Amino acid sequence: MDVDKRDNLQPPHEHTLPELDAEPQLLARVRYGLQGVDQTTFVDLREAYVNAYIGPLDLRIGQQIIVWGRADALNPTNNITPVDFRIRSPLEDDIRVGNVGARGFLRLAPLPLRLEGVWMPVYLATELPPVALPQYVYFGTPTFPSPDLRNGLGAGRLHLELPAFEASVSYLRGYAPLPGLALQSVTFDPNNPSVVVTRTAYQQQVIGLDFSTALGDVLTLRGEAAYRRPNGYQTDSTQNPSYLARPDLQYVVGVDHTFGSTTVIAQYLGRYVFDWQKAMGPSMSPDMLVVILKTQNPADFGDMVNRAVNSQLAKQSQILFGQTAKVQHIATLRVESLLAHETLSLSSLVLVNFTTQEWLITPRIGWRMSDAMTAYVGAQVFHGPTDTLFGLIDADLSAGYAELRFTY
Amino acid sequence: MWKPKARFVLAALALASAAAPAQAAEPSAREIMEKVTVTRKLDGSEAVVKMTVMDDKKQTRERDITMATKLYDGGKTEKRIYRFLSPADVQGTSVLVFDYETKADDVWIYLPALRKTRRIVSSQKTQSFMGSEFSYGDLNIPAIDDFDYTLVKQEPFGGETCYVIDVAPKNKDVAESEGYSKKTYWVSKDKFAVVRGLFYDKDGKLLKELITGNIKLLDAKNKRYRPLHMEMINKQNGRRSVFESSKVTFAPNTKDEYFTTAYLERS
Repeated sequence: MDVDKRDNLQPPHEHTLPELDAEPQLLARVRYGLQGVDQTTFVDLREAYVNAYIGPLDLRIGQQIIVWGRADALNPTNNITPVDFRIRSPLEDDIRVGNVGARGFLRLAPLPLRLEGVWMPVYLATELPPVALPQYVYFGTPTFPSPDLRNGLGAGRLHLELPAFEASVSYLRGYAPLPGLALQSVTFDPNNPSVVVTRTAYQQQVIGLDFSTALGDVLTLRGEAAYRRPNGYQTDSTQNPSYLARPDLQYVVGVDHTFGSTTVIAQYLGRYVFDWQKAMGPSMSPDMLVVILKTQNPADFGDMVNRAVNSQLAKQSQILFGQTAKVQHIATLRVESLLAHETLSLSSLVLVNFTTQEWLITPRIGWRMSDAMTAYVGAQVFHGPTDTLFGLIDADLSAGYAELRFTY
Repeated sequence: MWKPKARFVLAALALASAAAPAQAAEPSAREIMEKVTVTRKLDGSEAVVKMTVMDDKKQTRERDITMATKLYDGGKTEKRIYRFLSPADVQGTSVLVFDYETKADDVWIYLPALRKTRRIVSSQKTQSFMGSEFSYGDLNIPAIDDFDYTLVKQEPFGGETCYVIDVAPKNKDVAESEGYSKKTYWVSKDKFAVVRGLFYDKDGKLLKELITGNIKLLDAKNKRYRPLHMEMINKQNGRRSVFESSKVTFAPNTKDEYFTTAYLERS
C-alpha cells in the first residue's frame, strides 16, 4: 500500500509541523524501588509502535496504551488497557500497561466525525497487589484466553468533534482487563490440604458515551457513562460462575475551573448494579473448612466445600468489581496548583465513596529541577471498611513515596 | 438678519471641509489598533519557534515549538496550533486555539501524560503559556470592542516612528479576564505592527514589557507582518521570555487537519 506523502503544497511553502507518514515510537522505563516485597530494578517496555498515515486513515500498530473517556481519574468507558496497581508512582499514567494491537482513526471529513477502531489480540490482565490468603488457599495458574483471533478484543468509537462540543459513542467486546476469581481444585489431605483458586477472565460488552463542552468561559463540563454486560450472564444469580461481574451502569459528570494558577476538577460518579444481591460468603467458618480439608473422606464433604469456596470467591469477586452495593455515590475532587513559573506543582486527588465509606487521598509535591529531572514527594492513602476493595488493599498500597524522575 | 448667519454657516462649513483631509490622514487610536489587528492576521502560517525562559538569575530553559495558524470565516476566526518538540518532558504537549473575534475562544490542550485532549475554558487567558512570561491572552488577538483606545503621542522607537496608544479595558470583566488594568502600545506607523508594549497589573503597576523585532513582511500583497522576535520582560520579578522564530512561512494552504483535536493527539 502506498503511503500518502502529504507534501501536497507547493514551494516556497514547507511544512514546519511534523510530517508523520510513518513514524516509530518507543517508550521504555527503568524503575528502581520497592514493589511488593521486592527491592529491585524493573525495566518495562511500555510502548513500541509504528504510526502510519494513509490518506484519511491514521493507523498505529504495536505495543501501545489506549485510554478512553473524558472524565478525570475514573473512566467507565476505559476498558482496553490493563493497569498494574503494584507500581508505585506519582503519575497515574505509569500504572498503565502497554498491550500489542492495532488502533485506527478514519476521518470522515467534511463531516465533523472520526471513526476509531481498536483490535487487541492478546489478553493482558490488570494486576493487583498480593493480598494475604487464608490458610491452605493458593493461587493457581490464571485462566486467561489464549492468543487467538476469536479471543481478541474489538472496539469501535465514533467521535463527534465540533468547536463548542465534542462527544463520542463506543462499543467494546472482549475480555475484561480485571479478571474474577474461580475455584480450580480442592485437595483433601490430612497433612497437606489445599484450595487452589484461579484468576479467571470473562468476556463482556460495553456501550459507552462521553462528552465535554465549555459553559461560557467559566466552566468546562464533562460527562461519561458506560453500560457493561458480561457475556453469558444469567439473571438467575445461582447460574453465574463466581468470576463473573454483574451488569452495571456507571455515569460520571464533572466540572472544572481554573483559579489563577490552581485548577479544580469536581466530579460525581454513580454506579447502578443490575440484579444486585449481596454476596454473603460461606456460612462455614475458615476453621471448620480447614478441619474438613484435613478429613480423609472427601466424598462426604466435596460438594459442601465447593459451595463454601465458591460462595467466598463470589464475595471476593463482588468486592474486586466494586459491586458491593446496588447503587453507589462517589465524588472526586482534584486540585492542582502550578507555582514558581510551573517548576513547582502541588496536587491532590480525593475520592470518597459515600455508599461504601471508602476513601482515597493522593497528595503530591513535584519540583521540576531541570528539563530532564523532576523530584516528587507524596503519598497514596487508601481506606475502607472490611469487605470493600480499599479495605482489602489499604494496608498494602497506602504509602508515602519519593521519586526522582529523569526524562530524556 | 439671516444673511450674516448664513455667512457664518458657510464659513463654518468651509473650515470643516478644510480640516477634513488632515483628520483622514491621521487615523484615530481605534483605527490604528484595528489596522494592527488586521496586519497580524495571515491567511495561514507555519513556524518553528524557540521559546527561551530566563529567570532572574539568568538561568535559561529552552523549548522548541512548531506552530501553525490559519484564518477561517472570512478572517473572523484564527485557528492556531502549538506543538512542543523538546525537551523530552514536554514533548508532544500540544495546544489548539480557535480565536474568535466576538465570542469566547475554544481551547484544547493535549498532555501526553494524560493521553487525553482536554478542553479548557478561555477565561484562563491570564495563565502563563507553558511557564513563560507570556500569558495565553498575550498570544491571542484581542477583541477590538472590549477596549477603549487613546492616542497619547507619536515618538520613535527602535528606529521607527510610532503611535503610542493607551489601551484600557472597557469594564471590570475584561480587565479580570486579561489580568491587565492598562496596556500601552508603540505601533509602527509604517507597518502597523506593535514594536513595544507595556502591561500594567490590576493595581496599575507596571508588570511586563514586550519588545518585538525583526518584523517580517510575510504577505506582501495584503501587507501582513509577523515579528520573528518577541521578548516579554517581567518588570516585577526580573524574568524574561523570548520567542525566536527561526523559520516562518506564509502558508495560506496550510492543512485544515492541523487544526483538529485529532491532530493534537498525534504524538
